[in-house]
Amino acid sequence: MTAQEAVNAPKRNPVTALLTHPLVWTAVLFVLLPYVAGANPFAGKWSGFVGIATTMVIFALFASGWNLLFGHVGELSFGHAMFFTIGAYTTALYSKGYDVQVFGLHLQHGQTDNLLVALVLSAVIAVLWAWLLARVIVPRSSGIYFSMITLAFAQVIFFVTYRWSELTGGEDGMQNIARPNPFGHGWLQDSMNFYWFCAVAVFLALCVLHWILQSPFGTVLHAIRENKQRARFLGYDVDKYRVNAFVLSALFPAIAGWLWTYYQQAINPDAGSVEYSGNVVMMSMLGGVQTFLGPILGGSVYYEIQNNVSQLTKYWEAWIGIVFVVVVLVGPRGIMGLFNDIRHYGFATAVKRGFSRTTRVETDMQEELPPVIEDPATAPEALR
Amino acid sequence: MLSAPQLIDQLVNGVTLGMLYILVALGLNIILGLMGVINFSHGAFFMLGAYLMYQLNGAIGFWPAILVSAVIVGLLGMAFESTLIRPLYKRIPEYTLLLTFGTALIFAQVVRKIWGDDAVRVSTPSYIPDSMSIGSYQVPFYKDVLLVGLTILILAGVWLLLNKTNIGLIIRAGTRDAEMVKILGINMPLMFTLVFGIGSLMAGLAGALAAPIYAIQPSLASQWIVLTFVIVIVGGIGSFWGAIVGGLLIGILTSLMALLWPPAVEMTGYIIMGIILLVRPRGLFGVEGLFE
Amino acid sequence: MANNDNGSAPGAGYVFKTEGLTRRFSGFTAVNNVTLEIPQGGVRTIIGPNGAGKTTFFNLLSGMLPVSEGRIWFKDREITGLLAYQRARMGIARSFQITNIFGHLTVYENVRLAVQAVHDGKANFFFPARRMGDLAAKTERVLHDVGLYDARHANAENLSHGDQRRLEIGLVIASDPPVLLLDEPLAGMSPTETHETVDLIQRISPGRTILLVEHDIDVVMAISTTITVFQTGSVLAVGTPQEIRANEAVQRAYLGELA
Repeated sequence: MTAQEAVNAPKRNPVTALLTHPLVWTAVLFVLLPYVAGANPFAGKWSGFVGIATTMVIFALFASGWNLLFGHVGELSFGHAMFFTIGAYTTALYSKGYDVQVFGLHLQHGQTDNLLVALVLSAVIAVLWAWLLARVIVPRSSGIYFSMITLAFAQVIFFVTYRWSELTGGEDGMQNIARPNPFGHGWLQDSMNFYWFCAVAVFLALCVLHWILQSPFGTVLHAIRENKQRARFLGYDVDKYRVNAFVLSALFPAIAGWLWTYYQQAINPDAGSVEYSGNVVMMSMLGGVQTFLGPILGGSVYYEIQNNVSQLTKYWEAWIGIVFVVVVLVGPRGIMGLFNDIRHYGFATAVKRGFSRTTRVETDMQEELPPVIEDPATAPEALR
Repeated sequence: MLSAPQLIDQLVNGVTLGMLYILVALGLNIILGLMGVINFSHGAFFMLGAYLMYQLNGAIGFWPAILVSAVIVGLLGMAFESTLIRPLYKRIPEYTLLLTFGTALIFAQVVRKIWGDDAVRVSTPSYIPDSMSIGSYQVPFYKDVLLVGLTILILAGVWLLLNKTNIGLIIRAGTRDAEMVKILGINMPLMFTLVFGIGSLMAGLAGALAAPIYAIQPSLASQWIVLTFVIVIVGGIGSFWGAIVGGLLIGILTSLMALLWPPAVEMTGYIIMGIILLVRPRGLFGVEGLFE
Repeated sequence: MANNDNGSAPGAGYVFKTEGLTRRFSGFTAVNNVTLEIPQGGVRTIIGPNGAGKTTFFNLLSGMLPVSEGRIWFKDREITGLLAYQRARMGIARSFQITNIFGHLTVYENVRLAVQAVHDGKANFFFPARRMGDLAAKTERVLHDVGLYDARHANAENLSHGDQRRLEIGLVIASDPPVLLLDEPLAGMSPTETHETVDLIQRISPGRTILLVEHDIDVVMAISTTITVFQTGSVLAVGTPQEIRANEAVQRAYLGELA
């Protein structure tokens, strides 16, 4: 197709822009979730479970943070649970208190109720660890080598939480962590109230993430994903962008960990396990990694599947694995990718083309319509 | 205080561990070096080797079971590569990593379904003595003598394969020269499948050999894949001697750490990895610039 | 032996200077002890048979490869140890032999990124709103310059080969660099596309120095201010097109191709 055949982008009217904005849809989803999460009409369960909904929004944030790195920069981390668990344990330790001896130093802290301080501490420590790691890893590795290293370092954090029983409770973790009471009357004790608290917190964090992705910084990240070498030769300090992206991608899982500790009122080393790291990878792929909504939707779909399938078989993980493998092979752009394809090219064309292409950066449903291609069969395929 | 017998015990233990690590890591390295892809299910293949050994031991005898288990895993690897991995070569290698992560999950569940959640054990046949005297020390025979000896033989065989055969030449030429090799008229898809099979066979063989000394359970898969990654990073991607030195280093130091400071046992490998990354990021025997 | 180009005004500075520049690859020497000065201004073309080291030389100048030996200066600054992105920010823009654009982004986004790089190489979320207007204006100007304005919303990967090469050039001029390194910009083009691209190069050359590697001898003869001939890693001859055409050593090397 030559330049002459391309069509200028049509003007978008503000109403459409609002209706298709991913944050609007996120808000809609969050409002609906407590009523539909875990519902299974076939099993006669018509109403949703607040607990499942809470898990879904927390992991929506966790997955979105991870996806900043994979979907938008192109770097696959298999160790992001380490930031989640750092956030979770920091919150737990700050809230419940600790009393340990470290190299002869006696460290002690009593119970505290201040959730904001817990949040700040969780974020700061996670970001610090991310920054240290990034300084070491990023300039020295990329691609699958990078992925292997992130997995290995995550295991370091895992084993710290597992082995340092004096501080972390070891294998059993910590229990009986009180939920804070910032609004008085033990308002957060009620599950529904706590859900709304999480939903709002996650939504605000996602707004920040969206702003970052839409900024010039975000555009450069996309360029780095597309063609690192070209970005370098345009004058971008690519490694610096990668380090910054890595650090940012750690912030959101840490916040999710903060929420997770208060939700469960307990924490154990599982939060930093390979399984948890892998779960957010799967969620994001399922939802669609190159979109904003993808990881959010993926989190909900993942737990919906888990909830329903685990009631049928104790080998539900195998089914999730199968779904994931199918997605990777056949539909790597995930649910949102398929949705966008249908929206632009119609169902028949989307199916005919197959959704095995990873196409342009999706700015979600705000995407400008690409030029009309008369015959999809002759359009150049970009197999990636 | 540490006594000499304790130290020697752990040292020898470390060598055994190291030999197994080498076998598994070398399998991954061969595949990685030629094809540039990582099989996250490599640890699962190790696990399958152990489980198959458990299953077949009673039926066909100890040594045949080991052999057959290894071969089955090798064939499985070939089938795996040609159906699931081949479609992904056009894409960035992250997709292979993703896919094999998913399959590792599936394998673990399959194993749970067939053999249950609890650990199973294999015992060595009665004709293999429990221990052997070396000087004044009693050394567990299968674990520290037979296994080590066998692995050395296997590694020698692999070395011959890599250095004295045509297939070996192609494997050593590596991904960089895959284009050249194709021009020479060699059937690359077949080569890839074959090499994947060889690497997987090595993992399965290691699993089968290790069956008598480990508790065989589904978690073996994830334990071993992370360890393998660490060894590959320490030794250098695609490197034969890197796998050997890396595997022994981590095996021995981990064992010694169990004596010195038990809570840090698992960390040993990661600490070494961290140092290597800071000081020589390509790994001890790695080739510069392979992944950057 | 230092060769001075003699197509420049007296007293004009050089844009690149190399001293003993050498690059080896495991025993094979691609660029061998090259000492030369490339004066400012004009179109300076490098020609030579395949394997002569032209692209390696480019790679050394642009920072894609570290030197094995020798030093490089850009105007008055030594750049021998600088990384590629640092050189790009100094004003050395480079295009690639194999089209190297951001395939999954639109033409507009491609150019925008190139323009943005000059304003902001730092990781910046906070971008003053008035700068955005500047960027947009610059982007559109570049698009007009390379004739891709109408195609600006097309995905870069969907363009024809010739249009992609033009986008490549667009990326290179977007930052308004004083020096352009163009690595075989005409590779694989039809006669019409070649003609258009040559026009484009000549249009953008005033006020800049263009360093060009090309094989198309007719084009080279037509547009070059000076030609540098490489052979097996060394400079064989330097001069104006007429001088090169008359040079016996070059004729021997090319066996009458220039006739």
